[in-house]
Amino acid sequence: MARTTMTLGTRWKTFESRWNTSWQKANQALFAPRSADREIAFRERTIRVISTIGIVVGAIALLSSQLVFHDPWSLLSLPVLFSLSLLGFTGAALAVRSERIVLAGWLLVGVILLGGMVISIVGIGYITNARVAVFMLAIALASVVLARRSILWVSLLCIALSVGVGVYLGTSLDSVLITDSTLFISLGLFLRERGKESDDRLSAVRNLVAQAEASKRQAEEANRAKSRFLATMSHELRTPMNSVLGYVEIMLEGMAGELTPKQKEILGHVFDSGKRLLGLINDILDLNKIESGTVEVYATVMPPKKVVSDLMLEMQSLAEKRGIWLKSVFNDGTPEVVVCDTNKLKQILINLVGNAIKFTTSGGVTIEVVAPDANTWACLVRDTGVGMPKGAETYIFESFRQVDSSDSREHQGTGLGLAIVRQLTVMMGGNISVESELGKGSVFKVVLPRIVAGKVKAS
Amino acid sequence: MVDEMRVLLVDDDYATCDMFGIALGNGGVNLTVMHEAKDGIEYLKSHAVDIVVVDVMLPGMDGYQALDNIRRLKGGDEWPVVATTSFYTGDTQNELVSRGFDGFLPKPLRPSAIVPYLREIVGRKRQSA
Repeated sequence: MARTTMTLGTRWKTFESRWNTSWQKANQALFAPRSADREIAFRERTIRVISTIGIVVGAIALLSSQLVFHDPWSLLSLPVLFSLSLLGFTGAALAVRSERIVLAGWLLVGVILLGGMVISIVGIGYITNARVAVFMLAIALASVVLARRSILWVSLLCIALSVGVGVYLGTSLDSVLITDSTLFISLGLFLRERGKESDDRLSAVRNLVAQAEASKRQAEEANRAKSRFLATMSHELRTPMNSVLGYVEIMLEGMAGELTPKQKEILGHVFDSGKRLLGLINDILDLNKIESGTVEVYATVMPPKKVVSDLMLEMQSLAEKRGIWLKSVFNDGTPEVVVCDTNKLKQILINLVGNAIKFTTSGGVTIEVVAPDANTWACLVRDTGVGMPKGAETYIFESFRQVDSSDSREHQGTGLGLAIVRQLTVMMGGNISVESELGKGSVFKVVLPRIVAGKVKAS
Repeated sequence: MVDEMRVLLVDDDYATCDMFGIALGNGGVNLTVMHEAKDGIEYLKSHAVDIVVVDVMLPGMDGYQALDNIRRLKGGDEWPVVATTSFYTGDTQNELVSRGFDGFLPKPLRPSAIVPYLREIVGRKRQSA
């Protein structure tokens, strides 16, 4: 039982897909417009569809009129109407094939008008006012198969033909002239204005799009210029720093001869100043880069445990020099892997841990990884250092803000480090906060989404 | 016994070349300095070296093009090539490595670290060859 249904199912699917492809091919061959201009292509396509349908319907009507109903032939009879319509539709189809769109459009409208007239004159049973309906259909048709400026001409034509039919039939012309003309003209005007309105809206949208694209290109060019500038500045600033630090280090290492202790001491000061200056330059360039929006966020798969462990190794010696401990704790629920910008995370952690070590003289620093909820994970950097006064939590992340402290000589920094850290965190879609108590220590908490939105690059 | 390491440095900054000279002069290293990329490439055509150090921002030919040209020379894959640059971000290091450099010396240089680092890169390249 089951097997038969399955075979039927797959058979239907193959049949369905074959039918779809052949339908698509026929659609393409018969109805697809050739013209490039959107408006003309629309008219062309409509004409193609209508003429094809018209040919089919007209042929059926003619055949059934002859073979089934045996209608008589005379000048104003249904068979003649059907034949003329068939001729008109065929003519339109041929005209559209040879790119004569305007002719094709008029032929179609002509067929409808002819039909309207014949139906009125022949007076098919109860539809004496079929004339009005058919003529209105002709105007509506004109709005889709002819140029907009021709619509009112068709309206006038309909009035003229209505008058003609009225005269021929001897009916009173009052209703024709007043009611019918009002209808035809107003419909024509309405359709024309609607067409204009659509076109206006379309060109307004096109203008906006063009403007938006131009702005975008400008912004991109400005960004590129900024990047180039930063790259050049970076190079220009670091080159002389390289000279200062490199040469001084050569002397301090004794590579340019022996130094007296006093000389060593003096050069040591020069070296320290140089290092601080370099740090300041780096921070300013970094912050500038971030704030000018030229920094990309990358997204790579990253194991938090490994990154923290690697960091620990790097900073262990720094902690040992200060005589404090450095350890890491991974809580339950720490994700095995996350999607994050590894370099930015490293920069954040190095900065926070570096600060923690710098401000701690006894005790130590802990890096703790936790999972606050299913969509985020967090790094906490705890230290048992000097802490900061109440209220400092609010301004500590601003540029050039530092905690005012009595032993300022020891805690000099650039004031930019935390501003950069905060920017980096925010760029990755996270947030940073701090809790601290003077004399007890501080805890910096960086919360990040488990999946950072960013450019994927081959790691 | 440690072989004398032959180093080719291509950099247009006088201070860098001088520092390299001083730092390497102490450690049993044979240093040749070229200030322009094309001179460096000419040199490589006719001399053997153990390692090439190239500044990424050279006038006329940037470091990546220089790397390509070096690799295209006969035996070009054997020499480890190390980049130096003052434009340093975390991403730069990854990019340099992925573009084919074997190592990276950021500026400002730490002269005492140069020789050990270069020896390490040479050793690494020999092992993987």
